[in-house]
Amino acid sequence: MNRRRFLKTTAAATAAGLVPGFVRELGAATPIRVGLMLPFSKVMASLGDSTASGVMFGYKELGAEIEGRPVQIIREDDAADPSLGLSKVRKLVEKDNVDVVIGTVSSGVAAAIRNYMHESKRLWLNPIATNDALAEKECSKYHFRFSASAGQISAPLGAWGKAKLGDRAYVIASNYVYGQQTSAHFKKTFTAAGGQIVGEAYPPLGTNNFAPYFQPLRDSKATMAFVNFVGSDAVAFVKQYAEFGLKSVKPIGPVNLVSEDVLPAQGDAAVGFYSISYYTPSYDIPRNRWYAKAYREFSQGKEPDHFNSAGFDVMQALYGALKSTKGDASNKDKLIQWIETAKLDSPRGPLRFDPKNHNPILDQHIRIVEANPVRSTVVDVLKDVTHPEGGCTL
Amino acid sequence: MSLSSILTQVLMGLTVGANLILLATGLTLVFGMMEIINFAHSALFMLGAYVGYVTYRITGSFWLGLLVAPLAMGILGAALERYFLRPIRTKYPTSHLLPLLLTFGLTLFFEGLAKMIWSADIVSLPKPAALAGVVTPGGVTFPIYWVFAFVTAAALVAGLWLLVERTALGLKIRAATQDPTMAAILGVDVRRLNTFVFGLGSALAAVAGVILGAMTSLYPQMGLAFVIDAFIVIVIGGLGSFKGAIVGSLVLGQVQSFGVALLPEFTNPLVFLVMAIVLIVRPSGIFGAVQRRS
Repeated sequence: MNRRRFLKTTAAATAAGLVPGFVRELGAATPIRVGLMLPFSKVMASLGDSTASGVMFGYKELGAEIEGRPVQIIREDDAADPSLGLSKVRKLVEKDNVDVVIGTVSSGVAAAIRNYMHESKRLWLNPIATNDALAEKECSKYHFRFSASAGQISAPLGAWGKAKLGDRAYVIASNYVYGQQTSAHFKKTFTAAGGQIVGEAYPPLGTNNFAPYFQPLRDSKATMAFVNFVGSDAVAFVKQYAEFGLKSVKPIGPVNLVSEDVLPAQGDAAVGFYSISYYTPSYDIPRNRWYAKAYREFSQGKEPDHFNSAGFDVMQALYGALKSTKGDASNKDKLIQWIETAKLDSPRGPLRFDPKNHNPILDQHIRIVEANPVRSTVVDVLKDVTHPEGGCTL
Repeated sequence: MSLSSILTQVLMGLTVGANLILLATGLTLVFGMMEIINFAHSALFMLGAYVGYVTYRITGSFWLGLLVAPLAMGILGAALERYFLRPIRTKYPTSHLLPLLLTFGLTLFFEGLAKMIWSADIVSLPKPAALAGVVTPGGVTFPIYWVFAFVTAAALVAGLWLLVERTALGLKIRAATQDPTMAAILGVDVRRLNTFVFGLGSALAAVAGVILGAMTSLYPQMGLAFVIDAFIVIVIGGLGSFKGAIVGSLVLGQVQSFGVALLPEFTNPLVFLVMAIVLIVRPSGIFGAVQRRS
């Protein structure tokens, strides 16, 4: 141990609670170092930007210090690239010696850094990445997810859809892991509820023309359609679905189908589409009214969404946990225990974590897109939705 | 399959095919005359769509966008040929690689530029209100806008056909695609013809950009998927052949349309299977010259 390292450690130990008041007077408190790794470039850049903006909103609201220790945020860009993400997170842990890592958006990056994060024993707060495996056999006691697993935004639609939208469903989703996983969850719960899957199609990612898929859908006499597309695919699908007059087959899907990043381009075509999300900007509870107003002011007019609200919740959990240890970031068990038992006052409503897998227990909103202005409004709330599968041992 | 579903898939295949012709024509004529694989075609298609979008945002008129976009892209395309491609091809007449790299570089440049101006956000070009709604011929539901998309593309293709097959200018273009050197010796100003054809191809790509942009959405990389289809089309139809671009587009439109309905899991491989079969039976494509000059 060299001199510098020695000083650092002793300073940290002091700040950690031995004589916090004394240290504060000297102004020598070591910072709490927070790594913030998100995609700030490439395809997922806008999602990373929004998430980071929610984190920074939390930093501004909750204060720049915890128990006298300044909070220092170190940003890294993973560009939604798994191998880049792994090297960036190593840099954050080994070079910057962060106490906690906040990240990321891409499920591929989350899968790539999982083993390293587990072995380095740093607290890992995951605002967005949805892959199911993190709530199943790849779960880790250091990891907490704040968004939802793929299962949580598809499995609940089976029973709800059967009850409200009819008993014949057509499944159409992008042909890659996320589209297939969510479709499989939906099919399982929809048939379990007594519904019948009358057809399915998996157009490749980047499809521009969905029209050839529509006649089989129409011929199937389906009463509803489970739909999962992202980005430009979601825009093209929704516009063409409306153009071909198919809305009598009630469409429903995960939040990304009609989320705030695609809704302006979809416009009136999206009216009547159902979706499920843990967060809705127009959700009318006091905490969300406060959040929506305060966030718009903070971000100079950008809209609250399920990315930045999750970023804010990450900061609420981090500040709460560190306050419970008087700013001691090294007491991992205490930090984990606090988050496990916490009930956060989130813009989405109360937010708790499932002690079995550290996945959130969610109140899921079923929304419908309305016209004038075009936006999603909540029509139903499904209470206490957990990840539908087991397989996790923490 | 019922008769009405067969009719639906045929109509959809025709709509897609007709717009593919607009894209593929520019590619194939430029290849025929200059032996250049023009990667910049996807960028001109994308910029055309954005010009239509900007015109719509300023004037509120989709139709003006449909007019301004091809004019702007025709001029830009002609300028690119005259001031970028021609100097390189004059200086390095035997190189196929340098013009290819140039068009590739231009694509990256224009995509970056579009991102700077319009950001990576997805935007949408609304279709004109006059074209809302559906028609139902023979029990088939078909949006009026798609009928318009087919008719416009078909009319342009018919006009092009007359131009290429029935005019003196068209005769020169056909001569220059078959053998530019011989055409030049016989008094055709091949260099000016190159500029014209490049501009014409770009203008057609811009029309396709506006029409297809209103069906889908606009973002800086939007051109890639469409232009890959156009490349498949000209390989099937025969590189450099105008007839080939038309037949190839119509074939691809139907293969995709029926492939999705009958063999959904196999549609993408099916397209390439058709391409492979054509290449085995006729290595230079359906209408390709059997042996091109070396």
